[in-house]
Amino acid sequence: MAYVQSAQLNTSGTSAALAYVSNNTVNNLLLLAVRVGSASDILTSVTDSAGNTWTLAKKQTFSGDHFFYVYYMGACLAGANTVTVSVSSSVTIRLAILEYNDFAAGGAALDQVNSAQGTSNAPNSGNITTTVATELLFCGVSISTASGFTAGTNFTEREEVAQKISTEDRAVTSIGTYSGSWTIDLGSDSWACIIATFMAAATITRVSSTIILNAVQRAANW
Amino acid sequence: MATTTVIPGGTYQKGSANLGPAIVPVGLVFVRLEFDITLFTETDRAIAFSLEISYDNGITWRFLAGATQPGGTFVDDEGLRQTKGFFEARLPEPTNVARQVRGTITITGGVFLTLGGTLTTN
Repeated sequence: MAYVQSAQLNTSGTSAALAYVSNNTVNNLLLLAVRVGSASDILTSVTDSAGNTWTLAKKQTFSGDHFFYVYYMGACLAGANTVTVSVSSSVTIRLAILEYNDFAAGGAALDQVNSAQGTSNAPNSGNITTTVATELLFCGVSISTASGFTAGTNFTEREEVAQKISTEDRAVTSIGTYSGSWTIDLGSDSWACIIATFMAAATITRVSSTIILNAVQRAANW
Repeated sequence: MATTTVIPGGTYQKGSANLGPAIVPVGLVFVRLEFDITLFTETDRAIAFSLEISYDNGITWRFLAGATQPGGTFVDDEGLRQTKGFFEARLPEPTNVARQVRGTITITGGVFLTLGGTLTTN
């Protein structure tokens, strides 16, 4: 579960389209973190040119200021790809797109999500507890007033967009309780923060198979 | 901050206008377009940007980013009406000596004023 590439765009308007720098590799995990400068939930669609279907992992508002979203595509198609975000009225749109690999043949599956909002210099997503040992922790934060960010301990910052968004990630190898955190370099600010964790989709298949076999065994015993 | 202006300021008419191509100096990592929206109040107007990048002196091109902004009120994060819309994308491969950018502006619904664009180091 390793970082491959990322890109960023900072614009005003009703739609924003951003291309991956290099072609996506089949079954990789694609992620989108987008901050929409509206107090209302006006994001209408996330699409891409490769034909992937994007799913909302979590959205979080800082009440009265902006909305922050994390979308994902667990097992992408191969090739050149442009991600397009559309909103229903003209506002600021800040987004980062990322690609991660090494989730094995089935791609990645969403495991845990959490989010929070607050006002401080230390955004925190709130805790999640992973369900398998090897997972990717992906975290994003959006703030109201432009500032630099310092990523949390053991996290690597990947994209910082217009000093309004930061994304960070961490690959973990043991089940545990984790959260995403940052320090806002310019001090206290209003923030919205999201954590989403991803595991190999094949892990889910194996768990399901075990449950089915157990059920069959129990039926046989009866 | 070192900057290089690559897109001429001026008034762009309804229709499409090609921008560039422009050589991207080594070390520059952002392209930014700004456009005057003080006269951009009619909702039947829209401006669309499309930006491409070449890593081999213009032999091959790859879509980089784009955006669309319609007419009407545009408000910033603080809820204030803005006089300049913007579009800012990061340029990959800052050490590549063969980078170029080119773009297309498509105006629908009427004349549009633009302030031009820059390449910036940060």
